[in-house]
Amino acid sequence: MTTPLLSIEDLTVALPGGGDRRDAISNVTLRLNRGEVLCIVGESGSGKSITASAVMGLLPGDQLKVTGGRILFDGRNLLDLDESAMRRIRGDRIAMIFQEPMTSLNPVMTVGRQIEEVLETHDVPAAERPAKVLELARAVDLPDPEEIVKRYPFGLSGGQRQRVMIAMALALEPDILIADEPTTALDVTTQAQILDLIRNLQRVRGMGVLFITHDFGVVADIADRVAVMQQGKLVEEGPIDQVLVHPSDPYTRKLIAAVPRFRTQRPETVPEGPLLRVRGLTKIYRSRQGFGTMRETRAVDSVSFEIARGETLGLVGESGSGKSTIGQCLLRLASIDGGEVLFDGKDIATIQGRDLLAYRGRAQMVFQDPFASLNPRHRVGRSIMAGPLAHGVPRAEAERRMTALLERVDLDAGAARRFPHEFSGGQRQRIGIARALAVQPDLLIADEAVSALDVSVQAQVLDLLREIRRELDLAMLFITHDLRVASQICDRVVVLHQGKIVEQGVVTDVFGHPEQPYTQSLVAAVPGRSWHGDQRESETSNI
Amino acid sequence: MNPSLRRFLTDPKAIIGLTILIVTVAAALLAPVLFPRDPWQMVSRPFLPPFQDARYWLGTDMLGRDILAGIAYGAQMSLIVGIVSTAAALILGILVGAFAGYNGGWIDDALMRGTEFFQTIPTFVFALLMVAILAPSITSIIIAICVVSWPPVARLVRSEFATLRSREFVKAARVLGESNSRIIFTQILPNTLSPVIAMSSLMVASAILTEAAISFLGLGDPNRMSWGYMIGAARTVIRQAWWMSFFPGLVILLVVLALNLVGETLNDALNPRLSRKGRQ
Amino acid sequence: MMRMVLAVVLRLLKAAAVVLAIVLLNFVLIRLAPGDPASVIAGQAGAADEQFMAQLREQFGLDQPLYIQAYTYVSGILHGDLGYSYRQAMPVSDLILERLPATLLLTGTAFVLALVAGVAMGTAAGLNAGKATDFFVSVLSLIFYATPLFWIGLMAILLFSVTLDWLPAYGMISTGSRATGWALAADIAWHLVLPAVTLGLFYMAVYARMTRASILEVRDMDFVRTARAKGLRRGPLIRRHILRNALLPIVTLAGIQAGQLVGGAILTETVFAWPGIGRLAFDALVQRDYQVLLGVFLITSVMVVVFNMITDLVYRLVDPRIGATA
Repeated sequence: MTTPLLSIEDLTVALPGGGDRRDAISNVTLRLNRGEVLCIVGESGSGKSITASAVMGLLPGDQLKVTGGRILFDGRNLLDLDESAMRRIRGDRIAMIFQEPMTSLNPVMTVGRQIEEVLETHDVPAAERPAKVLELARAVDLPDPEEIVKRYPFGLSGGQRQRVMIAMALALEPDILIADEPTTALDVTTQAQILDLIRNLQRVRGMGVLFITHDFGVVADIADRVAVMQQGKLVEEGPIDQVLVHPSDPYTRKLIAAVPRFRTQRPETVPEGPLLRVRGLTKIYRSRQGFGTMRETRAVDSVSFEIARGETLGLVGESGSGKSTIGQCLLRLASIDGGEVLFDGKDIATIQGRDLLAYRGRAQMVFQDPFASLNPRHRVGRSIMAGPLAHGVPRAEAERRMTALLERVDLDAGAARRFPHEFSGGQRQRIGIARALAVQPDLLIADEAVSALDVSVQAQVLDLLREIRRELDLAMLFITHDLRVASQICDRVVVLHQGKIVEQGVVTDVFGHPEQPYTQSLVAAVPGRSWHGDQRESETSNI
Repeated sequence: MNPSLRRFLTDPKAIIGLTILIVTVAAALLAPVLFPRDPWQMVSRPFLPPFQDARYWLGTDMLGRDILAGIAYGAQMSLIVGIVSTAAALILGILVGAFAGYNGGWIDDALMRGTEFFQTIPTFVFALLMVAILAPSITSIIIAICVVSWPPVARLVRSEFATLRSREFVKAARVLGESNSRIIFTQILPNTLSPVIAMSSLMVASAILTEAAISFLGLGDPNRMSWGYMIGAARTVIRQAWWMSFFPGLVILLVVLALNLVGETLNDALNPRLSRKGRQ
Repeated sequence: MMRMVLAVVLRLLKAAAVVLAIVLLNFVLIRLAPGDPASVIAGQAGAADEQFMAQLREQFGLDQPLYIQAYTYVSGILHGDLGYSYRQAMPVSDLILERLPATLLLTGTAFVLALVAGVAMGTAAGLNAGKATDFFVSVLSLIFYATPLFWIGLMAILLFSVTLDWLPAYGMISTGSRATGWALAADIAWHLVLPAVTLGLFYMAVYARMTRASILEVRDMDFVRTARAKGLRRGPLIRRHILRNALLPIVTLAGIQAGQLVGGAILTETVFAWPGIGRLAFDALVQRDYQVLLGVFLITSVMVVVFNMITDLVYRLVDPRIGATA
């Protein structure tokens, strides 16, 4: 066996005192070979990012300290190197890219200068640098390289910024590229492009790539080998085919089972007449531009659809598609600039006062961010009862509903007396669902309701929503950017692009045989498609 | 005990600050008991240096008035002006800020232009001018300080409101059918108060400094002893009697320092952003 | 370039609106005063002379409706007429113009001193957060922040002039001096030391605190981590990435704070008998010469507005994000 490029042995990093566990990561042993992509996959708190930062020597020293183990690279233990020796390795031999392209570049320095800085700091002669910067910009497929290197980061899209980050990382042809969730903040089509780019560059240059992600779909697309982490420990490691198809560890098995997949079985709903009818819904945002000129953006442009009781309709699209704006308009959190919204036959687009209050007693919303959607200063019971009380339900009845709902969403009765910060993300999302249901609505709008959750929790919350819709015969509008999640829960979907409807229909038709080119590109960009098509499909599609 | 309160009370900075403040409040309350005689009255020979007569420990001024008694009575003036003007400025600032931040749009624009205007003008000159024109008295000083110190509160509350307004729990409250006033008072306002409380301590400090400066320039309330007045009166005789200005100034320094310490620790205790960051 | 011109024009309009509002505020203040506005205009000087008061009432149209009075007042001021000091028997504008250079010299010196020292201290503290330097700077700025300016001035006189006899305590030029040219400049500079340092200390503390906070915030940002991942040396990392981003907001904040420096100048000039408009304002206060006070308020406000305008435009030049559409 050849010596690995990088070898992490028994690495342990201590957490500062007072946490619920002693070590952020404990006894992690991994090796990365030349020319391979090793994915470290895990949920939040698994320690995958800390492992990556430890290799780079970029742990926040005042909070996290390496307390044991070795990181061997090029015959040396990186943990023994002093800062100046480590500095010479960073950016030259080992490079790193990060999750947030929007904040990872210096806002007041041109992107060309930022790329050049890598060359400068590692002593590339000044005369060679400009040509090299352009060459790098071209290598990462930045459009119009001569012009773009003179721009500041604010003028670039998220995908372009991530390309700049990659250009910086590749500047000196490092042996190792560490990528910490580099595509998580990007839209799905951009993600596919960036993954392609990383994979191609890796092949051409023969780098070793340490790729951190939470998404098994991404793993399936890019990895040669996979390491699964849980709670700071390595639970399983092996070649991709083995781990994805025959996982040996129960945790890995659970994780893989929870990954949402495209379903092929056509949903069988028999919707009656529609409860909600949206016709020509339009929302225009105006922003002032300099002197008196107004710029109009049609965030939602003549959108029409219907939802019946007992049906789940998905609104899917990338950022800027207008899907969340539609949700806001339907609940009148944003004003409606055109079109009709017929709820139970009555147009609610402009109602006010008593009528609006009555409508809100029948239509509710579950929000995205489990940390921001509950008032941190109110006990959970109070938050859940706020709705019924606002609608004049007697206190005793409101309390009865609250208790019943807490039980329904699998929380103990004592939860009512606790504050939101005492709950996990998934539990908070359950509380949010209970709060929405407390007013006994007919229409439930879920706006990216599972997007902020870890995949195993995501599956549970999806199950809960599915059951509740059936039990209460709700009409549900499910807004999401994740096609796999939409496929799991929706009966029909509407695909949106830049405020307009591209395509709508039964979910299996739209995702299985998309007619429009945009939908086709969206479906093609979903990570891990080849893996989704495997034989395990039939076992997991009916959870 | 509430963790914020415990964090606050165990911080040495807060302990130092609170101790000084308690002594000051006690001095202000007990002044009539400790020094039953009018602080304006002559009690000993003029220009008595400090630490010579045990009865007049900090010496006397050019009219033979007791410096220590003056400091105790001066505490009343400083604390009243500091607390009342801050309370008034808080109410005004919270109202303006909440209204602007919750409504947004042109109401927000108009109110914030006004707030900016009051921040742009040189505040101390404006306060002086107001006191001079309204005739020097404790009331006009309080009004003047209130008028120049509400804008930062309004801006803080406005920005908190503007952020919280689009927070999901506030949207949820609207969707659930809660009324605007209920949302403002039960959902948003309690979440904006921590930084406002921390700020109020610093506002009392700067109000005390402003009052001292106004009185120093001879515009103080003619019926009330004040630290600023004592230093102002001592200005011309500084070569003969250093103690006349030294001690009142030192007291101002200590009290303002104490308020700053308390404000800083309150800020750390109520906004545990730093400790939260540690946990990730 | 067009955008820059437009920005300047807009900024000038905004400044003009603020000045107009201040003039109106002055008018309101006169009306707010208890008693006859004529006595406010005349100051205590005219209180006795009934005929003189009647003349004033006529001149300012005080018997006419309020909006006409406002118009008369505003247009007067916009024509450069700041009123007349009956006490000093001089037009207020002349009085102020005569004193303005001294004040500009004092506040300008104090501002530069405060900014340079404050930013340096704040940077040292922010980059060494939690260490001895940080503690020392924090304690120092806390103390200067809490000390009354006029008291520091008095104590400085006591120490450096009375006890040590190192520096002059009063005035701007040595009494009886006939120095000209460089000798005069040196004499003024000598007199400037105590007042400028006194006035600067408080603002130095303010800038030090702001800088420290700003650096601590920027230090933890994602792009600083990126720069470290590139293998940057400590020097360029701090200069190009941390300081450039941390000091940008200080430009604007310093501009806003600088306006308050003028208020401090009244106290400083009073303590050190510096012959500027602050000293003028103090004399006017003592004599209840309201016209002069209103004039000083107006002029200082204009100074602040102009200064804020300059810092705004400077900010536009240094920060590439402003003035461009994303």
